[in-house]
Amino acid sequence: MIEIKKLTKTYNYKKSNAFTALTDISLTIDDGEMLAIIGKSGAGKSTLLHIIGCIDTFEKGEYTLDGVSIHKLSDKQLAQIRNEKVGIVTQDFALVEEYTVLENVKIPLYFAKHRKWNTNAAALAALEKVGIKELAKKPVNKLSGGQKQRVAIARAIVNDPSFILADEPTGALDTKTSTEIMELFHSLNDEGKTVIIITHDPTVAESCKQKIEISDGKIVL
Amino acid sequence: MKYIQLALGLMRQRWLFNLIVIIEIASLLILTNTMYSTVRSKQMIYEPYKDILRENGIVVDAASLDFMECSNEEIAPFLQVYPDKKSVISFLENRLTGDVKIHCSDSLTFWKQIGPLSVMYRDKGNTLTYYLLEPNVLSKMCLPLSCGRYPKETKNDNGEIEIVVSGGTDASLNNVYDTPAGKMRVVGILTDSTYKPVNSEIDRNNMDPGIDRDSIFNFVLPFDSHTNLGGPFAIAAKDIFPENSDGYNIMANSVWFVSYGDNISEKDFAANTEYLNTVGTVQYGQTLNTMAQETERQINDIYYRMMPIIITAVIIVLSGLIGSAAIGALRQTRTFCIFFICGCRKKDSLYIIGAETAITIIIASALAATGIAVMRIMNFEYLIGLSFGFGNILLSVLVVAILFTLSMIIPFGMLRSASPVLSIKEN
Repeated sequence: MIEIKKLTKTYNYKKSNAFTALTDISLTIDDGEMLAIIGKSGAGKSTLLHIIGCIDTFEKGEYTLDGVSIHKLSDKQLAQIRNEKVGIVTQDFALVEEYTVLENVKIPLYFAKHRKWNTNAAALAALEKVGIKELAKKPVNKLSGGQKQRVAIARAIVNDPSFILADEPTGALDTKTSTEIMELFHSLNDEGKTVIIITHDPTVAESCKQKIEISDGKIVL
Repeated sequence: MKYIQLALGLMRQRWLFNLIVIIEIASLLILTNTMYSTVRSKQMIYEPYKDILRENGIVVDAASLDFMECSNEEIAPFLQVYPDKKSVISFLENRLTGDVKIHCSDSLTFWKQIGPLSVMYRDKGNTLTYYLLEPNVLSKMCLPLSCGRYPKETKNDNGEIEIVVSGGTDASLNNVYDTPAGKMRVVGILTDSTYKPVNSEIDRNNMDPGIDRDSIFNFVLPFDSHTNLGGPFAIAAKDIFPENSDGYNIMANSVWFVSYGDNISEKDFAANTEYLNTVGTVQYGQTLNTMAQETERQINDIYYRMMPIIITAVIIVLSGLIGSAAIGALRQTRTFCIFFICGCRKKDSLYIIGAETAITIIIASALAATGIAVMRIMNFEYLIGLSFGFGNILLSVLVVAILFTLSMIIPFGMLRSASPVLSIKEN
């Protein structure tokens, strides 16, 4: 479960060009939830997702993930959370273009605390889950947008995390492919994973169980 | 292991650039090792003679000491076909005045036809020459041995004469041979490519005109058992062989040094020089000290000549390697950002870059080692007077450590200041 209380994030904290991106955010996301975060560009959606994903830090407030206070964790512990507890999917897929599909999916396995003996098998299982096992040996720069996003999702789930965080996962895809990708997120949610999606697309937001809107760094809905 | 796997994956992205850097580093390692070995091999030749050369005195030029055409009738009886070296020295020292001493290395020649010694020959040589060295020279001999050690200056407990043999004989370590001079035990074998420690074959016409004649390097000859340059030889201590007898002669046909004590008067010096001129040509300017200085100058010259090349090579290679690592870090910021969201720490990114650099350097070192091995197989080391040893390994490790450290500084700074969040946003 994710619990956020009075969280404030300021970029360039204590500097002359300081900018507050999130102000007094409080939010609880239960396990197995499927939540859409909507809002205009620059509203603070991605910042919130980055904090939830332990990519970014915050100055004030409290954030606990499965009962663990994130604020007090070391770099190593944060890395372990990014590796084991959350899987992150981005709009631009964030894939290493020169790697093959399989190599991309295997990346989180390299940094896992308890490395799996058979990383290939684990990566192939993740690819099978997203329906592109047959593309395992292809370089990702030869894939379509939809296929790339499936690779990104496979990489996000390869360590079997409890939380899937997606930042505009359908932003670069056509409608048909977007629907397929959303179906994939729904099926992951059905398996019990908590899915948090940032989106501009009302259709995507409507398909989620819950949605919140952020405006000027505050939750308004 | 994971860092190596990830580094290999990243290296694939810039394989051509990495290949060029590998070739650059390999060339630098070969160049530095060649310079070191050239200097080291010269120092190894010079080392045993250092103390003798540091004394005051003059050199009677060996090439001019032509006993066959000696005009001094007094000494003529000692200068037969095989001059009796001990008698010659004794004779000369009795006729010179003041604090004066004559040094001369001996050689002892056995003919192939004589007795069981023939087992030590291969087809090329008709004789096996023994270079009999002064104790203070022998004790400092450091031409590399392929096995064993240098001989003692006296006979061993079994009454055997200990010898070191060159390549090109059939002798093995600890073989004992019955010779006309007594039992001889092989206690060491020189490397195949080396130098003869003293020169009994010196010939003014064959001297390398590029080498200053005042240097000790005129009195040694390169030797290689794979070529036909001279026959095999042995090294032993002087004064432990019986007097000349049937089957062998101890010959005085090598470098002659006439050294003076500090208290020699000008009158004695002039008289001695005049007398020595009746035996051979005395070269006044050529004091032992001058010879030492010239020898050292030649060794230093190698540094002076090669240093600019080495420095240039270091700069080129460093630029390549640092540039490669920096460009790698810059271009791969996005990749490291991807690694970051997958659970990689900044520290891990540095380890990956370190692994990349280490792999590059290891491949380059292997390439350099192969290059040097090929040079050895093709006898290039003999042609350019190289001697490879433990010092080369130390030098290579030092060069590699410097390259590695310097090439990590820029990527370290770049990655430390890079923000994964900003990189994610930019992408």
